Amino acid sequence: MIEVKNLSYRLKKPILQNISFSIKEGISVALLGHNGSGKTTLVKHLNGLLKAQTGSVSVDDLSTDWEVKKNVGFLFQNPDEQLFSSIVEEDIAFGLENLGEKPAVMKAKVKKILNSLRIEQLAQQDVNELSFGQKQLVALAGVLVMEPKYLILDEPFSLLDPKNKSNLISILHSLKTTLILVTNNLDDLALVEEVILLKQGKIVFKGKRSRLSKQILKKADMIG
Amino acid sequence: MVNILQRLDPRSKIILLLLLSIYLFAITSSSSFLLLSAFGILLLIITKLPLGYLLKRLFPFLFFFVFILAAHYANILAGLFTIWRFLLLVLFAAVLLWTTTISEMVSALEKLLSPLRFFVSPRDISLMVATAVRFIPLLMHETSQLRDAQKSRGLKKWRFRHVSQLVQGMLKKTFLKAGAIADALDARCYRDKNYTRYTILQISYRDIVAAFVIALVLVIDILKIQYL
Repeated sequence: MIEVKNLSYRLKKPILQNISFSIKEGISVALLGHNGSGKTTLVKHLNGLLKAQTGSVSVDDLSTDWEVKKNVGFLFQNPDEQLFSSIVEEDIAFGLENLGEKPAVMKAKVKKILNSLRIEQLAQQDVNELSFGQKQLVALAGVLVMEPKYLILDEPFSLLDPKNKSNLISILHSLKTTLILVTNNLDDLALVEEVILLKQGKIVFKGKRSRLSKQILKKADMIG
Repeated sequence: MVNILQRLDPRSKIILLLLLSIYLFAITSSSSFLLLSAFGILLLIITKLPLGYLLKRLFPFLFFFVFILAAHYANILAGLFTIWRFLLLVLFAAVLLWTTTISEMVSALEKLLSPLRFFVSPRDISLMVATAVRFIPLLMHETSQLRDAQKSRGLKKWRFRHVSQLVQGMLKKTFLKAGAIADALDARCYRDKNYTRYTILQISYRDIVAAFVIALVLVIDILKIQYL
């Protein structure tokens, strides 16, 4: 379980204010809110990229940052900023190298993830020659291959065309990992069971998706 | 089809290229130049390196070659020999680049730097090289996008302030990208200790044969100088 207690974070002005919630394993959650509502800052705390200034964040009682990062995968919005190697299969193996996996195990895991995302034909391709949608799938493969318990997806559809978006959605539906979806698009909520709605760094709603009313969305300026 | 040079360990290719380059700067006789040129042509044939690929790599040196000739105007022959030296150096480097992938080069660099691990982190350095290779084309693309954005807003004649705006924009984008890359590395548990490698480099009999061939070429040349 991911547990956030009284989390606040400020740079020049407050970004997050007294945030508390928990995410149970197996229950997918969306963090919904406008641009600048603090969604990305909040999820960066969940996998240890940012440290809590006040309050606390705990993941399955793991004690080190490294263990947290291993268990909470992070797919960023722009795949171009998370692919480091020039060759696809080597990039997918990058996380496994950091986990210290043996080469034979790495090869088997990379092959398995390429097959499950149906991108095995890209294995030897140059990353710079891929389309944007293919890059997003390779980036997802690079995170999933590390077998995280939780997967943070930071606005993964915002730069994708409709075809690639529906492909990614069908892949995400088939995953057994707990999804934490960051989005400002109400259509994306179909992927999750629970919603946490943020407005100016504060939670205005948390609960089942079905309980999210038009009134609440209006209050958070998500609809006109 | 994979040629024999592609099957060599990238570490041996880098070391042998270094060895050839050092020797190239030590030779003075035209017969030595001819021998190394013949060896270079043999490499071109074995690797089937396209002439266009080689010319593309030589093109940036044209100005440099003109400069060398100008500097040797009193002794044009010496200038021509210097250019010949550089031509061979570019040829050998082109063969290395043609037969080795970037990731092989990075892995080789990491291994070759491993004796210095008490002073610097070989993995950090090889990652820097890999990210530079990966992100320079992206940054170039973004620069051209910024330039297009300026043109689309009516820019016809470039003035200093327009260049300054372009540089500022690019610096901002580069720093933001660097921050995002650092986060992405961190998120994938990057560390420079206790890690393993996906690409395994292994010295085989082919590398020993290659080293022997290069040594043979150099020995023939040294003996020829002594006895002829």
